[in-house]
Amino acid sequence: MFWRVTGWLSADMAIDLGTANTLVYVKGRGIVLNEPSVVAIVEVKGKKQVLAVGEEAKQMLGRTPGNIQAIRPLRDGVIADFEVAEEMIKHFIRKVHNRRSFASPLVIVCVPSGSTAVERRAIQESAEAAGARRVYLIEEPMAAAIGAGLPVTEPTGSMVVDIGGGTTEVAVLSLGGIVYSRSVRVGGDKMDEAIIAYIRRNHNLLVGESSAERIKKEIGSACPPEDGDGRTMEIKGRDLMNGVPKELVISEHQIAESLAEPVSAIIEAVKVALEHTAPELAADIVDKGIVLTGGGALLSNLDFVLRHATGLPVSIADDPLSCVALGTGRALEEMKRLRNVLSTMY
Amino acid sequence: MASNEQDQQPPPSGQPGSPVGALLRASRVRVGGDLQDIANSLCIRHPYLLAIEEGRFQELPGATYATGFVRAYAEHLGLDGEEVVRRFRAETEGLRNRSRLAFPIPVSEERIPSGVLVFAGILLFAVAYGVWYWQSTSDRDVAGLVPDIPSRLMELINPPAKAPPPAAPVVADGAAPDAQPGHEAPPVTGTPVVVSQAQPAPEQVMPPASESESEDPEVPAPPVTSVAATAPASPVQSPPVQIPPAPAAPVPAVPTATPPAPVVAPPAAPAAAAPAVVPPVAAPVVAAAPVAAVKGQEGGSRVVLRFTGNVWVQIRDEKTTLVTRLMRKGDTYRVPSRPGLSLVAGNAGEVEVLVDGVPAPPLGPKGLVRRDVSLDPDSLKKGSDGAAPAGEKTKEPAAAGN
Repeated sequence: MFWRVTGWLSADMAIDLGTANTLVYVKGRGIVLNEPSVVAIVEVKGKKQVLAVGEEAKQMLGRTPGNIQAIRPLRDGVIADFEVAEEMIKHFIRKVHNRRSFASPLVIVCVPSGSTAVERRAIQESAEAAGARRVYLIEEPMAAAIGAGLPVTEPTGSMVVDIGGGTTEVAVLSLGGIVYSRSVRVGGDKMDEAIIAYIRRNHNLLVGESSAERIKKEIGSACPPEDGDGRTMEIKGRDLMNGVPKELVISEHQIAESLAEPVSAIIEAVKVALEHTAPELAADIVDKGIVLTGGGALLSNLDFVLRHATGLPVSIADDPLSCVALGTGRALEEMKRLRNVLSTMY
Repeated sequence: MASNEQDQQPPPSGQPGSPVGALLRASRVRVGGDLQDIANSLCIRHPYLLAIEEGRFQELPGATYATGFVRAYAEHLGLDGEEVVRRFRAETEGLRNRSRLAFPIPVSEERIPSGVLVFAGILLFAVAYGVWYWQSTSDRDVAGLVPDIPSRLMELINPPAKAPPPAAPVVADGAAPDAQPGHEAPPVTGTPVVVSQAQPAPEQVMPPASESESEDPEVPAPPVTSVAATAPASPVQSPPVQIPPAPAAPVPAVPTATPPAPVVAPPAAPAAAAPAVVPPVAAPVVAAAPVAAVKGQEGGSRVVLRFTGNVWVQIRDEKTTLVTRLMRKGDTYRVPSRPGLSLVAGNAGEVEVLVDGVPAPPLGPKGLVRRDVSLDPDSLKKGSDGAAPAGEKTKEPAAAGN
């Protein structure tokens, strides 16, 4: 009874602070918040104030007047703008606590396995500055594997590939620890950039990030369709030649071509990870295969490409977008048992 | 491979337990696919695909992987992967319990014993200390070393409850014509309070006449004879039994010590018999009379020692010492009627000896230490004993106290 009361007062949180989306898991309640990691800052009389956070701010992305900035405080999985990231975390904590100002929850934040100590410290400090009572860090691949339901604590190798907005984490886990992990700064953002670059190069049309993301979600594919151009989509942007807005139709085949580079980077990362895997663990992985998590796992045919590239069975986790948040949340729920997957910078 | 597939065909059809497996198998058969080819294409091991088709889901490596395999297989066959997975989940709800994460815990290398052991050790120590403490304290208790009084003697201590001490003066109601009762009365009345503190030792040793007579053959003999000499007609039991109210009035403080009647008025031989028989009547009369509240022995002792000063005395027989103490001025002591008793007095001059109520010759002058004075009534009466050691002059008068 007592712990319940204190639990209500503190509402401990697990935060998947992603480049593209931030998910918040509240102890005992599950995932309560899933919003884009975008903050809109308005400058009033020389003083910066938060105008909007999340979905609302994402709508402003690329459409802001001079006094408003729509910022994505995270790039490549780590904090790029410390103050804005702090404001964003503060906003999420307040939102979860119904704008109570005295809330000081225990917070678990996930960090890319390839992040440096400086980057981790930046994340921890921003969470503490946002009002967290205590901050723990958990590595993303571990959180993703726990969230996907892999038997990470058993003496058997499990391979997880978490393709996030900024980074792709490839890790082999066994006995509750990360045997090998590799983090490449290729993810959804890089795919968007690849699409933008491809369209500009081939069609002299400039599209924004949001449009590129929408294209990726609708007709993105890791490999070109076997017959024809596949699905098609109308895209709008600015013509680079004469500077007027322009609309054209683009095909799945073209987008698959554009995504070839980031996809091959992911495949390369997986192959490198497999090369560094001990033979016993490799044998386990041959049996069970690779599990894909993260938003990038939703790119169609990515599992097919990976399967053919590696010769291993590839499964996509249930609800891949929430795996990291669910795993972080489980670490929060079972904190005593999973204490050794958590770390802190102090 | 095709033959292999044909071999596998019958079991699932007769196995209604796994609709998903049956659906996948039916779809595959409809498409005409070979399981091994599909396994190669999907990179999923053939046994796993077979297990899925046959509904042996527990043989799959895990819930996450199983779901992925089913989805991949269904999509490969052109089915709606999500729908098949949904059915698969519904089917395997029991199997899909949340995987329990149990991290391996290193073996503790602490040398400090666990809390339970420490607690048990402390408890054991406390118990051991308690036992030792109890043992040692009971050893030190001197009283504990003295053996308990035998039950036979305990009965002797408590008789007053059953047989209240008889009043000595029962006899005194005028029956005593001599000057002796009268002569004796004043000192007795003056002493009751003092006497109450008389030593218990003789009392314990000497049984009360009324009850011990029957039990104790050796002791009772003298009292009986002494009483018989004076009042042959009256049974010894009569005074204690019949005169309960008498002593209560005069000396309530002396119940345990009050001796039996005969001591004071033994000479009133014939007369005593009559009053003794009718004690209730005599009692009120007697109550006014002084009580022989003298520390001594029931059972009719003939010799009474009266002390006019502080005298250290020791009375003993051949084997045991009855009394060893300092008598105060005014104390009296009834010498039990036992043969072979002898007296050591630190100051013979302060001891008055009454034999049958009659003063006997003095034991010696003041300051004289008398040893081995026989307390035989006859010899005391004669005074021969007293005269003989007269020459034994005091060597150690200090013991007398004055």
